[in-house]
Amino acid sequence: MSGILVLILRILFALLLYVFLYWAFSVIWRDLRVRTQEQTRESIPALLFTPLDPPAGEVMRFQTSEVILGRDTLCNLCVPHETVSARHARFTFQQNQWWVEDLNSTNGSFLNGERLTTRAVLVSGDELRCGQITFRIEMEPKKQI
Amino acid sequence: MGFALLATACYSLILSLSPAVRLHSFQVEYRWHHWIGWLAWVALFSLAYHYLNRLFEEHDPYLLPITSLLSGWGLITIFRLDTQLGYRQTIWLGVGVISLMLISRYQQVFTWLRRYKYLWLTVGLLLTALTFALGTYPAGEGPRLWLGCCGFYFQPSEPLKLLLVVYLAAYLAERIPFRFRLPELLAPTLIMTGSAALMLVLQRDLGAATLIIGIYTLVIFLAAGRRRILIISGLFLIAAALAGTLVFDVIRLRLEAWLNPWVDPANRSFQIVQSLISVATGRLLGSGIGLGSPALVPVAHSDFIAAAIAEESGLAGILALISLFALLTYRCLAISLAARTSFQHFLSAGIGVYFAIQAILIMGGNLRLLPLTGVTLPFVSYGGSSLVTSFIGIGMLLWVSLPRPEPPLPVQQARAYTWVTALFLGGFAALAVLAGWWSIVRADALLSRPENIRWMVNLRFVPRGDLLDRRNEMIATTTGERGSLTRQLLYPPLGNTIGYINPRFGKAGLEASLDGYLSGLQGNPASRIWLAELIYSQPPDGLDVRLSLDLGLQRIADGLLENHRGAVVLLNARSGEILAISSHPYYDPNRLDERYSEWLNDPAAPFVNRATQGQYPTATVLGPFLYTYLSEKGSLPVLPLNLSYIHENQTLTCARPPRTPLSLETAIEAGCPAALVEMSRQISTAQMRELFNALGFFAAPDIRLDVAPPSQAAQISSSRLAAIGKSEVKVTPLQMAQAAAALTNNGSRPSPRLVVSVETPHQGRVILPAGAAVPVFGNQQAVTDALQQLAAPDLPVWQSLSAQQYESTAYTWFIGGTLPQWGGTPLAIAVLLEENNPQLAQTIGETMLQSALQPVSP
Repeated sequence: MSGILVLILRILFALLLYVFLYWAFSVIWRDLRVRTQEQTRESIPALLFTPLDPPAGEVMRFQTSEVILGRDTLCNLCVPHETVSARHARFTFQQNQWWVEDLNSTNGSFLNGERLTTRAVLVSGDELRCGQITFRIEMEPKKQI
Repeated sequence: MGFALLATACYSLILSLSPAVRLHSFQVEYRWHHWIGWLAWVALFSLAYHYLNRLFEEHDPYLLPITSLLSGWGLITIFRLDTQLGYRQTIWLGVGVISLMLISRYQQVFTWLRRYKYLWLTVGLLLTALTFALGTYPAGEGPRLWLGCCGFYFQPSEPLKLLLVVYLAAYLAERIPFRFRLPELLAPTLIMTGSAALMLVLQRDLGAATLIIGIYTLVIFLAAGRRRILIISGLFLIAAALAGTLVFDVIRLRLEAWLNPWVDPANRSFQIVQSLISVATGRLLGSGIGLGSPALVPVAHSDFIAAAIAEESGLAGILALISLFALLTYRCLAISLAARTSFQHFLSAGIGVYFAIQAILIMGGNLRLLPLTGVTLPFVSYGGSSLVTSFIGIGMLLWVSLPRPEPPLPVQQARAYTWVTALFLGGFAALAVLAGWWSIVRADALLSRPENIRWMVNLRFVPRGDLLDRRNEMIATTTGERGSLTRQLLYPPLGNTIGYINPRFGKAGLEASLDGYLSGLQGNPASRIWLAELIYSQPPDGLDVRLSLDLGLQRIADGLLENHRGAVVLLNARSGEILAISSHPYYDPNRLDERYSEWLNDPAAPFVNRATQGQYPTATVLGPFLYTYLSEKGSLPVLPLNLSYIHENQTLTCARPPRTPLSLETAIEAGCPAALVEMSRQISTAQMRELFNALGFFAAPDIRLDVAPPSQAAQISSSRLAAIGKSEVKVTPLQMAQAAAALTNNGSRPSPRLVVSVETPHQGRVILPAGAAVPVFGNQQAVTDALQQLAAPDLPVWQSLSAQQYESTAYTWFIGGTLPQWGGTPLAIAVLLEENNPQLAQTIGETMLQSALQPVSP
């Protein structure tokens, strides 16, 4: 009888030990995840697209390291217009800068009026025309920690 | 924090209840001392917790819970091992936690520490040096590493480690920002560290010396990030160990004990072997605190506390312990990475390295991952200086972990951190794997080793099975209550055969060979053993074993032998069951404690079981065998006129005058040498060897007792010498009785058996297997006829008697048995006396046979 009671306590003790460890590891894990997310969010300046053509739509904000613009609904930035190709242009954040490249679109992409042939670095205030649709591109400044 | 509280409360509760489990009863004295320690622990840590929460808005949330769990666990384990040490440890815990709070409160300390780094380290060194002159060892004889008096001792090498960390951090924080060259950077630190290490080596405190070299290497590595530092230091340690083996005996012994502990498990590697067995005993869940026997490992409260925890909390516990230390190390390095100044940076990393190396060193020593070094397990082991130093270290870490406005210092040697973290995690992982290896994979092999002495504890707590004679009369039993059980042999003259089980002298005789059944580990269903081990951490109650002995006949034999040196073996000639087995002088297993050495030095050798281990020349007693052999062949000789025989100037004579009318048969009965010589002329040497072999003289009897190594066939050089007992062949009384049984049992020799059955709980009485009979003589009718010729006139019995003088002693043999046509139990007997006393031998033999023929009145 006493043996069974103590056996239960022994198992309880082992369980408590591991609950403690589980608590510690789960808190560390959550902490680690929050930090990495912060890190990624902090390090990528958000990319803002403002449509300039009437009807002027809302500003669209992206904070992923890659943005695809196109007519296809699967694109991050979906532009339902016939002059825009299904996958039209790609924006990537590399080496601390936002880059844009044309994805062999039918009607081409024009950065500040010049046709894109290679990858180009974006700066805040650039205007990008895809087919007949024009956006103003801005970047949010990096948040200070 | 709450879980730590619950876990230790649960642990304490188990310890309180443990006596009830051990004794299988609630009417016991419960343990309660450790609750005082537990309450103090709760009070101290809740105080520290609330104090720190009030003092700082935010600090590292792991350090306090982890260390509280570690120290609480350690504290209760120490209470379990030694209440006195538990109280002391409680006081030290108070000092430690209060110094932690003070360090957090008065942070100017760090400025002071940093500014006067050389001074502090020098003070530490001087204190350590002082132990050369004033060192003591609180527990009596031992290494003099302590300072102090009047019940208050501390070990200066403990704070020295922390002071070294502080010194290194302060020094490196000054120098690292500049461009540097390694040798210039290292010169001053190398001198300081080297002198510390050297001093410790001279004190033979090798663990601390290794620790200091390890801390130094890793901290410098973290600062400089050159991998060659690790390599150089590793090579240096190996070289130092090799040089040490040549200079210091201690190092060589430690290394040998580590590399090959099984060579000398009783002395040099006693600690490590006992520690491994302790770990193996724990298995998965452990015995439960208070239920194991961790105190069998020397210094379980300090150096071997990991083994004690492994035994009582099992693999589950030791893995949790290792994880806690891994977590602590991780937190230290994480705090270091987030530190704001390079002093804090190196300080916290150094403390982390200090905890990690120390934990790996000692747990690795316990688990045979590393050679044994006498360092403490931080927070867990008994030891005031270590506990207080560790808590001061935690106080420093808490200070470093406080949030500050400045951004964290960029880490200069990120790869070094990865390397060090990987190194420690690898070390902890190796510990975990090894703990699993010893406690699960190798557990059975370790537990069955003779060095496992837990049976001594079970002897007091688990009732051992009784030994019964064939009429269920008790021969040996266990008396007393659980917790103070003692084994008793109720019929001491059987001492040589029954043997003993004794914590001081070990096991012998049937108590040893039947230990499995008697201790309950054999014969019980596996599920029952498993359940008993799980619930009570003890084997189930032992099983009773029935022997073939007849205490009535045994008493007669012992009464007749009295003070004469000799042996009697009476057996059932058909089944081989031994009815009586006597060896005199005997020893009384109940009185071993008082008289062991007296018996050991007694020239009469009472510890020898003469019936199975005594080897005697056959004298002229083999007549009946030769007679039967020849009558089977049909070539019996004629008796010569002169009955005595001269062999090498010694006249061999009959044991007594032969009965009249004189014949070959009556001459054989009286052991007259001429009859044997005459018969041996008809038998070639090869035939004689074959006969001896068939009679079993060249084989050890298959019996659960120690038997003498049998003689070899090659020892017969001539059939004549073999017949008159002048060859090298020697025979034990048991072998002789077995051979006599072959005649009585129509020519087939039974295998002797002493143990009949065991009373199992589920299958009832289980008969234990016995060996098969061996045919000696092929022609049954010839045997019957031959024995008929040899039979005595008044009894259904044949016999042969012989007494011959050998170099220093005379030996008297009597063999006999019932005739094949006897309707009752067929019997065979062999009597041997270490004196020339044919009369007594004949009396013993005939009395025994007659008593056995008539049913003994109970």
